Amino acid sequence: MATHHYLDARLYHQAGLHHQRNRSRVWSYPDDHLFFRTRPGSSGGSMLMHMRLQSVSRALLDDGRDSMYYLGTGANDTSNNGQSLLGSLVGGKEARSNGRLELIVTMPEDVLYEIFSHLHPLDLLHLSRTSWGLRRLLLARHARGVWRAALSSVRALPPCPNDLTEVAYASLAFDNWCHFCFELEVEQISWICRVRCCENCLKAEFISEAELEFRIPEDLFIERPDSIFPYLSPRPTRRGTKSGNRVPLYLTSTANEYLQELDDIVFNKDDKALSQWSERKRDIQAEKLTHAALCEYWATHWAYRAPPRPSPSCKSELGIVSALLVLLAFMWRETLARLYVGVGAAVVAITVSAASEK
Amino acid sequence: MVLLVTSDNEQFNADKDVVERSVLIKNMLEDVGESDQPIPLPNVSSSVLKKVLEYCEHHRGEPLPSADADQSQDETRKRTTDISEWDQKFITVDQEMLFEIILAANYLDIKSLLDVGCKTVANMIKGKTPEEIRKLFNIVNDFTPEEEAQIKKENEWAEDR
Repeated sequence: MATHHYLDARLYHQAGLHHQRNRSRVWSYPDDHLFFRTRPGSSGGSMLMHMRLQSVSRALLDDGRDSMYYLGTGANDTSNNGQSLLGSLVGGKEARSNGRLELIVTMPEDVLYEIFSHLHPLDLLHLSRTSWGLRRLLLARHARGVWRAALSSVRALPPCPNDLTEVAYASLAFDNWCHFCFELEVEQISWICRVRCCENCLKAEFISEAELEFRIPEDLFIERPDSIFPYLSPRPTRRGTKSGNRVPLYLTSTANEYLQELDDIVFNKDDKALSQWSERKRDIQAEKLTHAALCEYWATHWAYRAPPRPSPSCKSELGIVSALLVLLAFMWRETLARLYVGVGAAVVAITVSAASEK
Repeated sequence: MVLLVTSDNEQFNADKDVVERSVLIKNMLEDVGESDQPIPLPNVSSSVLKKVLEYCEHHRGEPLPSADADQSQDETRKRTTDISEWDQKFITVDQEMLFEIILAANYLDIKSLLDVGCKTVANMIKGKTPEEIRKLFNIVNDFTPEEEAQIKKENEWAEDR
């Protein structure tokens, strides 16, 4: 197949294609002809394209039109928005599967990983959500190093815990939606439960300590359920709960899982299994608590935070301060009045003296 | 002087210390020794090679990163995505050209140029939403809405661990 094809924008139209193209793909030669250059080493996808375009151009010539005319007018179209030609050309399923569609995916993998190594975990998450091609690439097992590198480049972020994948950890730390209802801008992360949860889902997805105790098998007593079950201490709400008394809430899904295991153990009346189980869970919980404390510290001290919006509490503080100021001014009114008179007199004296000097 | 021949059969003459920024060419010259034979570069077109040579010309004489120093440099290099002013001006080209330069730098094994290219692409991606990234690279969203919801949970790897 020849390397160069005479093309122009109208041929694209004839083929039912948009005539978006990249300036660097269209080469101007001294005799004003336009060439469509095949990329060295490009694969089947572009061959197919060429065949399509060839057949179109043949059809055009069969029409008895003068192809040179089109070549002439095509030159004026080069300023069209220079997005990737391939991107607009192929939209079908078969084109998708061979990956020619996305310019960025046509890069060799080692180059892509090189690019990814400069990115923040959140950027990687965003990339992995653009298309299947990139997702497959980023979630491949050998891409794990990319995520590790990205996470380690975040300042002071504690290392990824063993029970989470790097992707899940990045999502927990940097996404901003509730894990249950996908509501956006949810700030509250429970590092112990490994979830981000909004206020509304808190009731649905968590159970209170009383309910948990109720569901623990009857002939079993767990003195401190919070040393075994992942929990979350809800933020003190402005009204209602007293801030000193923060009752832990337990993540229902994990609690169910644990309770299921407990049921089996209790059913077999196996003391050894029970002590093993409790030891294992205690270890896991202790690990999670330590990690969560580190994460909490990172989130409050290091994590990028949006500038605080003026919240109601901020306004109320302002109100109290201004009320105090007024009170202070009222109590000191005599001194202030004297001061005011004194200052006024001084100002008058200065102006008078200045005037007299003139 | 070294003679280079591009994929579209254009010939380029360049100084030896300029082209030797490419580890590929450097090794080639070392293997072949002094000769007048032109070096064929079937993966590089003339317009791209022109840009690459411009880069090598500007950075000629700078020390090449050695293989063993790589490890320690890697850490600091990865952390920053700063690009020097000249490089920045050099790399402001359209997307296709940018990708071709990166491919050429990868093929010719010019670490610093590959770095500049990759950082530029990384900077393009930074801070963008998935939708914006799609628009930037002309990527078609091939997720169904259900898949998109599933993706948000990010538990893909969870099973095989």
